[in-house]
Amino acid sequence: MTSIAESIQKVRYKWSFQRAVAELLAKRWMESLIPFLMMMAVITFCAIAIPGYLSFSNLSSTFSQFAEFGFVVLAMTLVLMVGGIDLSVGAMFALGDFVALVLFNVFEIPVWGVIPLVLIAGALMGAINGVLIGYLKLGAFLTTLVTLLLFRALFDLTTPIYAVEMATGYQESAAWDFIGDGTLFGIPANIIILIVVAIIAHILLSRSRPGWHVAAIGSNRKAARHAGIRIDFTIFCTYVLSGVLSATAGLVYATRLNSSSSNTGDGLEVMALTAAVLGGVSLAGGKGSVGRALIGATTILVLINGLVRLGVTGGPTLAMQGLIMLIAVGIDVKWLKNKSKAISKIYVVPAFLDIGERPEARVNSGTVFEQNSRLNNARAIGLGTIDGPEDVILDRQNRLYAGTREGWIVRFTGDNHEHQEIFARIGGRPLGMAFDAEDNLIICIGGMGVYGVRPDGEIYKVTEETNRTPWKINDDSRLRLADDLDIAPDGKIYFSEATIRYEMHSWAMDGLEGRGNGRLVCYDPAKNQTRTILRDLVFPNGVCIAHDGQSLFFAQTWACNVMQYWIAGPNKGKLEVVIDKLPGNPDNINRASDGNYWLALTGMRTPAFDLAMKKPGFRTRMVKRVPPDEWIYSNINNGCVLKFSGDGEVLESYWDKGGESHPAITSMREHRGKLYLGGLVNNRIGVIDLPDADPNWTGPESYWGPK
Amino acid sequence: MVRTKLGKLTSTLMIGGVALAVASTALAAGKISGKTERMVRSDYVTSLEGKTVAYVPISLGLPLSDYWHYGIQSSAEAAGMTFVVKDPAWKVDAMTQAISALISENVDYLVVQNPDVQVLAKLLKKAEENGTHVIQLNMASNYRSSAFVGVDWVSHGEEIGEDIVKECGTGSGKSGKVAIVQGELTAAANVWFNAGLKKALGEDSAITIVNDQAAQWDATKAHDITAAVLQQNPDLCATAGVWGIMMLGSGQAVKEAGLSDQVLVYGSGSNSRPICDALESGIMDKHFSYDSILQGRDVVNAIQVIAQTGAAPGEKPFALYSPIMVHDAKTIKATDCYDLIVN
Repeated sequence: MTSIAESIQKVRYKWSFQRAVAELLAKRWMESLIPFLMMMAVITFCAIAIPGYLSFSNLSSTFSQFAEFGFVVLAMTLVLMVGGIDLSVGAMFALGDFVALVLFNVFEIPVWGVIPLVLIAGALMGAINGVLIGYLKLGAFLTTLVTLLLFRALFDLTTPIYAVEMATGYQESAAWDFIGDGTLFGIPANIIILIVVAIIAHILLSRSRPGWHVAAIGSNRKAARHAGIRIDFTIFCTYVLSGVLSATAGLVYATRLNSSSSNTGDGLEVMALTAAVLGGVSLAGGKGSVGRALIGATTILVLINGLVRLGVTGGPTLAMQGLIMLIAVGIDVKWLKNKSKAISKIYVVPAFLDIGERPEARVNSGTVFEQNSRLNNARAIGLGTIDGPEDVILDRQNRLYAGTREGWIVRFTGDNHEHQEIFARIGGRPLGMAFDAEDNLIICIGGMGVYGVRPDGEIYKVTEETNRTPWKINDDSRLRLADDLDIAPDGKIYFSEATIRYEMHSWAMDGLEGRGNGRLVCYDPAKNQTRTILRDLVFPNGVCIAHDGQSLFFAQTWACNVMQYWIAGPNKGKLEVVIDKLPGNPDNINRASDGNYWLALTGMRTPAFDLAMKKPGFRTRMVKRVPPDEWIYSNINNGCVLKFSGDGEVLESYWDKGGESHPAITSMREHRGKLYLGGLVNNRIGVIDLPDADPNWTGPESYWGPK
Repeated sequence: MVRTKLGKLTSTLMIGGVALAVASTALAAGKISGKTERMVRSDYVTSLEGKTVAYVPISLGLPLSDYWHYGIQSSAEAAGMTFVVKDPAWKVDAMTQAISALISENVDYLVVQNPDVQVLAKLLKKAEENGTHVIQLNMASNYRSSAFVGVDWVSHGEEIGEDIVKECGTGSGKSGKVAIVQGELTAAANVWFNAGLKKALGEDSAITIVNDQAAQWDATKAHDITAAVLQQNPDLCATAGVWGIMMLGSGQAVKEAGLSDQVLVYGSGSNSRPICDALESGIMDKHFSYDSILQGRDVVNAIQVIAQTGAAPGEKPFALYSPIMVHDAKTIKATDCYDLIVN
């Protein structure tokens, strides 16, 4: 009964430009987009306004003046990232320059002696800031304002002693001249030094533990302390590094110009601050990178250089600089802080989804789905002591395992499973589970990937990434929401990843999209390789290998159907719908002792939501205009357990009528004549007797035979 | 934009105009027909045509650099050159950037006032290696370029020193205490001026230098330094510094201390209106002046010489020293000073 209008909608909402924009915006490097465009605009402006600007020789000579400023901006970026500020960079720069020149010109110490001494001088000055701010916990702004004055005063006091000697003395040194204005392949030597330092700093900041500590402290000092980060030491170190980088800048300046005068480094702190903020380093701390610092530094340098070359006089240049500082702060506030809001407004991109007719499940409706009370008397295990057992499983020794919201695997032992213990602490959100042939418990962990726990409780990683889809903007190589898994006879682990666009905490929002955001992934332990085998699935959830091991079943939660996919035998690679038009949203699937399969329905369909799924325009407007807590969501509050046969016939249903103890069921597991029930938000595990079931049947034996 | 020029300039231009008129009449009459003379003239006319001269002072907006600006621009344009000016506004970074850019633009002549002896030395050397003639104006660097135009600072300092010795030294009956206010310590003018000054002061054992601090060309700093010196040495005889505009601050401090009659305030620099005003009102006692507009013309004269002799950059360095005029409160006339020029 698909109408033409619906077909058009289906095509219209299949691909989305908005989704591409939203996913692009969510990229971390997008935070630097506006700064980058600004830099390009300034360079383009200069290229047009100044003849010959883009010639190699001109760029080379322009950028040979860039190095020292680059170092100072790096210093400023580092302290901004840790949530501080360093106003003394200009004064440390001046002292670095002065020390270098006194050592070199007056005391005639060779270059290889001058370099470490200058760096030590910088480290000492930085250490003063570091001790005051890191250990004595003084405010960064005022402290560095004071040290700015102190260092300046020291500079003013010592300069007259050596000024004339410094200016007239000179030492011949090829190394000194090379640092100052030598070139390598046409690139100024000081720029090469800057690039090397920048690469090291980049790796340090983005790929190392200390770098992450810096960002963590800058983002949230309290949380960082709770996480056990040594805050005072890390802050101390950033100020020391800031001093070293500023002194390096002074050294490079000394080699280039051989000059130290009273206004050396004057106002450099404001320029560096402008550059850093302009590049997208947040004043609030935590956000920033070496790349952004250099983008900001380039913008400022090119702009000021351009104005000087265009003959704009001093006053207007300063005014322009002030204006840019304002713009930069504006960007900081408006762009960085509101970007996530903008993304959340456009990130959810609904598609057209027609689930088909909704079968009746009401009492006295006479269908196989009719509500009943078969779960009403379920006995509770771990009542009130377990939080959110999404999946449950039993081992050969009848012990019961369940994952919890705390990221633990809880184990119940004893005849009635009355003893509760924490079997493993993994973290993340444990979801689907299965035992492999060696009795290792393999678990899908939402937010982390697939992990295993050996019988002795040792945790190991199975896989956390798959091959990236080349044409997707979102990097989908990391597993975001591995949901359920099962293990084929050959040991391959098949697992579903429900969605690649949402995290565990916002999984229900994926339902508003109704788009094929999920996938089926296979991990091959023989090759230690993870490969995506099916893409664009609509929230693939439960996975279960068929009794014959030739195919697997998986449920698509929002599409309300169960699919069968052949992994072996003559039909290998075939994919077909086994059950469609389910009355609710299917979740986990597991084997039953009678050769059939158990299927959990986590919620029942409603006419309103079914209709909404056919109206993507309506859902788009809703997402944009209505606050999230008033959105219409899929019903995930009330469900049941179904049993179906391998050829797709639904055989019976189990309901907890009234929804007292097991309203929403996400998983069930049959074991020795009993059925154990799990629920994503339940505070218990339920168990009922199955009088007609094989009292000796267990899952591990069904998969791997007796042991 | 009003270009005001006073007596001296007007007369200079008039003389120039008359000379030109005479020359052109002579040409028209066809009197000058010697082969050698024709070649010289054609060299003069063609050697600067289409050439560019760039002027980079420490900062514009001061009488000194604005007079240079006017002097260089008017003479250069009269000679058929293109004139370019960059204003670093006291920023050394901006100055090095501007000069680097001028080097890569291959300007023909670069006129530079050095903020200190080191900072531009390497750049100026690079400029000359690159084919640009560098004329260092009034304040030189450690690098010896094609030409220097400006004051002979050592003898300039000596002259002032000798005058102080005469006023305050043996037999004057005064304390002999002198306070020196330096400019930027590492600026060439400052280094050599003070060397000359101290040499002259050292000749007389009755003279003692009670203070010797740098005000970094800043009148406010000079004021503060002098005020402090006067508190410690109320019997100060003289205070001297390398730049008159800066010394106005010292003079103000002397006046505030009510010691204008006792303390002599010496300055040096271009003969700008504020200096004449200060001399008339007694804020300054003696000013050793040089004519900055004529220095500007000297620059273009130096360029003419370089162009016509065809020397390579830095090949035959030479200097054109500027004559010094002494002005004091008694002899000063309104016409001794230029009004401020707004370029």
